[in-house]
Amino acid sequence: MRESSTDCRRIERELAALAGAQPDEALERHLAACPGCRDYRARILHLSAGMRRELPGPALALALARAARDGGGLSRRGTPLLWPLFSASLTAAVLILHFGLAPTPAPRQEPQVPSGAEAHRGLPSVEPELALPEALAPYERLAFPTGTGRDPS
Amino acid sequence: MAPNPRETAFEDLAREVGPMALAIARRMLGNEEHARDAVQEAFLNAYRALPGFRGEAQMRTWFIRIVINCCRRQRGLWMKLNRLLSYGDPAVENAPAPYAGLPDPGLAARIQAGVDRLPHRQRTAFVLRYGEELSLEEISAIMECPVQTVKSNLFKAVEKMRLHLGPEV
Repeated sequence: MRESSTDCRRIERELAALAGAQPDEALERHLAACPGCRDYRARILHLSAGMRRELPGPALALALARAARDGGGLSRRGTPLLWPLFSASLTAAVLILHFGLAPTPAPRQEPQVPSGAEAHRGLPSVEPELALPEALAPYERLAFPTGTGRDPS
Repeated sequence: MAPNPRETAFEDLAREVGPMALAIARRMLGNEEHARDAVQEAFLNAYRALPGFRGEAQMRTWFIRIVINCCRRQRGLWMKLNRLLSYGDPAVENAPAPYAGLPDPGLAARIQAGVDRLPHRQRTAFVLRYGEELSLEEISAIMECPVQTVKSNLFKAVEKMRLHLGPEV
């Protein structure tokens, strides 16, 4: 029985997906009965044969893998680095134009400020002279009477 | 000293999938130099990503996906560069990609010129199926789409190839 063209269209889709692989029984049956699809199958096989090529040996792939691993991609030949180089140069040019060509001044040296303890090291302490002996406490009121600004308490 | 597992996995990947990756890149880009650059970039990306590889996909599937992405990037880069250098000259824009490195200068070269004109997803499906004879399931995993979409891409690619090649195919 002759199948409809809709079926042939569906089978062509299957044959295109099949490429060089072996068709199943249902497809084989259809191919045996349909010269149009048989011709399509022959063309697909021709295309598939034209695409088939020998696989390269592992040596080149290994060399590329090792170059990528060891060089971090820097060993790649010049052309693919064109864009990164171009963008880096452009960035550098913009930065130079923006900040000028003057050399960057050295960072200012801040003076070393000693801590309080260090600053007073070696100086005589004045505190003992300011402390009044207990026996002179009553005379303090006389020395700083009320109204002189010194708190009498 | 015990071998570093990352280094071992990387060497195994390069040895087992490297040749196929190179063949795919050659077909995807139609140029030996660009193919080598794309594969080297893919290896670099894979080496960086290996510690995070969780093994949810097969390593081969995972790596071929990286290769395809690098090919796409590489191709985009060169197309932009060509456009820039030719100042939009349509003669240069529409020129077929060079197919130096192909052993057969006849049918293979004409097929390569046709492959080069396919849109990215159709080209990917066609190269993986017709060039590398990968299963539809693996192609769908690489392309991250259903098998039916792969079939649809293949059919469209074959139709365009037939138009390109004329009565020859």
